[in-house]
Amino acid sequence: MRIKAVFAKKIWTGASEFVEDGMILIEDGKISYVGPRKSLGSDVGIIDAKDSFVTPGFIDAHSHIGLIPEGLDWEYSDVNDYTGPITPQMRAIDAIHFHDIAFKNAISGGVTTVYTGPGSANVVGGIGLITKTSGEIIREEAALKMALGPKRDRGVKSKEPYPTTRMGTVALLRNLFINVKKWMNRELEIDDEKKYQYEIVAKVLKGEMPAKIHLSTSPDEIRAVLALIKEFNINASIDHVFGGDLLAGEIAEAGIPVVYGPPMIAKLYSAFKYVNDKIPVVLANRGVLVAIMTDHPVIPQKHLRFLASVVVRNGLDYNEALKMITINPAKILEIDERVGTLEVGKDADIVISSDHPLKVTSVIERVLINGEIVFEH
Amino acid sequence: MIIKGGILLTPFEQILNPVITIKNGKIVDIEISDDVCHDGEKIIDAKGKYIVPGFIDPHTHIGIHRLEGEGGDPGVEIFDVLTPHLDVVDGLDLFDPAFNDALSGGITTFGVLPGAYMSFGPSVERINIIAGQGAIYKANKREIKRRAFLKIALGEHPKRFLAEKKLTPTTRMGIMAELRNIFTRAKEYSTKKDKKYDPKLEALMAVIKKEIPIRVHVHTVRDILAILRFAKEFDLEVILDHATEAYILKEELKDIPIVYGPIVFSKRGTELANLDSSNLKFMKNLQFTLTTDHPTIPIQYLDLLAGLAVNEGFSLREALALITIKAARILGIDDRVGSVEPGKDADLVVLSGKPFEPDTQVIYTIVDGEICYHRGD
Repeated sequence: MRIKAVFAKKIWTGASEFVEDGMILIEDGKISYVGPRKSLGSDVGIIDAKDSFVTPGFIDAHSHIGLIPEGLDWEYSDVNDYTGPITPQMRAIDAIHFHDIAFKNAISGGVTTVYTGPGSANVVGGIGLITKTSGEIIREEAALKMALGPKRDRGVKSKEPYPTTRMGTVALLRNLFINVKKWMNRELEIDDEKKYQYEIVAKVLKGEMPAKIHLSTSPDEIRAVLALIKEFNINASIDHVFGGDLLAGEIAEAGIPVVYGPPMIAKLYSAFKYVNDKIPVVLANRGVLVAIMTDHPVIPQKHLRFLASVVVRNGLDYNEALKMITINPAKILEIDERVGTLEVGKDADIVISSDHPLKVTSVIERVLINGEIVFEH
Repeated sequence: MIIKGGILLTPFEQILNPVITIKNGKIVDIEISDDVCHDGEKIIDAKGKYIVPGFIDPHTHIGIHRLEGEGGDPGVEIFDVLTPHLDVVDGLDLFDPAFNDALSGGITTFGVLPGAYMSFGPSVERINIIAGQGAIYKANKREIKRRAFLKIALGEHPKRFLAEKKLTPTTRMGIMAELRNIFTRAKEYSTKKDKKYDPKLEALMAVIKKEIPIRVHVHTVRDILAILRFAKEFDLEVILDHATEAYILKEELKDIPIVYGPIVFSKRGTELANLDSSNLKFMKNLQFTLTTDHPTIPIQYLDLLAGLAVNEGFSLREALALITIKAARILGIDDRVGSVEPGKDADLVVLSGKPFEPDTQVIYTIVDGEICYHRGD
């Protein structure tokens, strides 16, 4: 067994107050101690972060890393399959490109764990996965991606037509859920091809897999989806959530977590009218569990902490914003038993920065995943 | 008006407890004192705060690319690939909320370019080889210079746009051939006595006479080298915009002005493979400035991008220069803006704290000696 110790002036565990002049012990890649410094055996490897700032590794709860590889063209891009509007059978694990240089870059930005999955072209897009940026897959079936939007018909010749209105999109989802429920109750006969899809949707309806629902256009879309989530009692996060500030009360009351962003997104479309970087601040102040996404490659994943800084600029406290890229996404992705804070028993995913990592001018000096140094400045 | 107290930070100096006197929109005097009588004048007390020159972004699409709801204008003619006779001011929307966003972020002057660069998927990327003539504006909507430069674009974007529109040319060779053709005709036109009026060639006269520069959208080494050869051949003033791979060409570019970035941006396609904010650390000896390319990055976050330069080894003042005096020089207006000196326009920003940090807020933005933005407590 190899033991390592990280010394630092300031340790932000994410679970309690700062530990000043503290120490983290790492055994077999897991954290075995966090607290004041104590005497160690001579066989312990020391990582002395000196005056630097230690935090948990950052977590991006919504991205397409490895599915739209950086610097490569469409031949390597596998994020939206226009087979039809309902494609739960698509799995990120079948397409992910772990040689995507973006993983290495993400690590240099302190990002240690990410969700990556299918895009928003389809109403049901497929299954996303959770992985460490070092390549260790944490969960192959992490969430089923669903998406609303103003117009999904891209003119592709698919087996089934795409809905062209919000009514049509919601109706399609509702119809799907009703049919899958009927099938689960043996009230509906379906062919084998449908069965392949229904088995996956059934996992969501049974609460075995969360839904990840893309909402980017309007508060009314959010309202419609909150009703749907309630009707079918689904475990879900709602993602992007532009316009969410106008519906903060309803989101808080429903208790549905939000993955906002990406902050700083270009308002390129008229459909982005409700983009507003105060949304995560408004929602957090109402008690909503909020995480920040890069939506990589929309913003390169390495800049996750920069996007959290943008949220600070919009009025949130540094440490609350830091939670939005550590423990909050861990909870939303249901991996908080392993990552998200620096607590005993959790993975030793650690970022060492020259100052608070959300200060734009602070430098990331070292990154550890499972106790191994994976980046040094 | 008088601004008194705090710390005056400019690219050239740092002054404690300054007294800055402003008359008729100009800075008339900077004293160091903590006890000066100012009978009957408006006084801004900057005690405990930072005073910096108004920020400048040489490359935006403010007013020409508004897509909030109706009124969107891509700023690009789509049925012609060479449109030097277009003047961005003819399409400028002075009610674009981005003017106010700029003020709220301390940006007081910006370049406005036709030919917006759009980031989400090939179907909306539109760009011409020659898009038209740009202007320089203040955030208080006053025009500094009309027909200030000619916007040209090379590389993937015009290629893809033209191919989609079933227009030619569709290769880099073809794009340069088009440029060579029209500039050769413009040179002949400039010396011809009996000539038929040609609006396009007429528009190129100021460029041929080196009265205004060409500003060229480039990313890769090959496009940068192509336009340098071209500028030499036709004896043109050239400014490189975006210039992603400029950091590789330190020798060739040491005298060429560069508007770099945006340094945090989606890296889709092969052309942006080498985009990274860490490139800045190789660019210390280049004549460059930073940009948001608004709406690509919302204009109000310009200072946070400069903060990333500090992250890459630039001092606070060097980073400040990137979005003040260096930007003014590139736009050719450093006699008026970009620093705090007697005789210059009174474009000043009062910040709640140290520049570039996310929790630092703009308290006052002063343009031409008038308070255009004030953040209440």
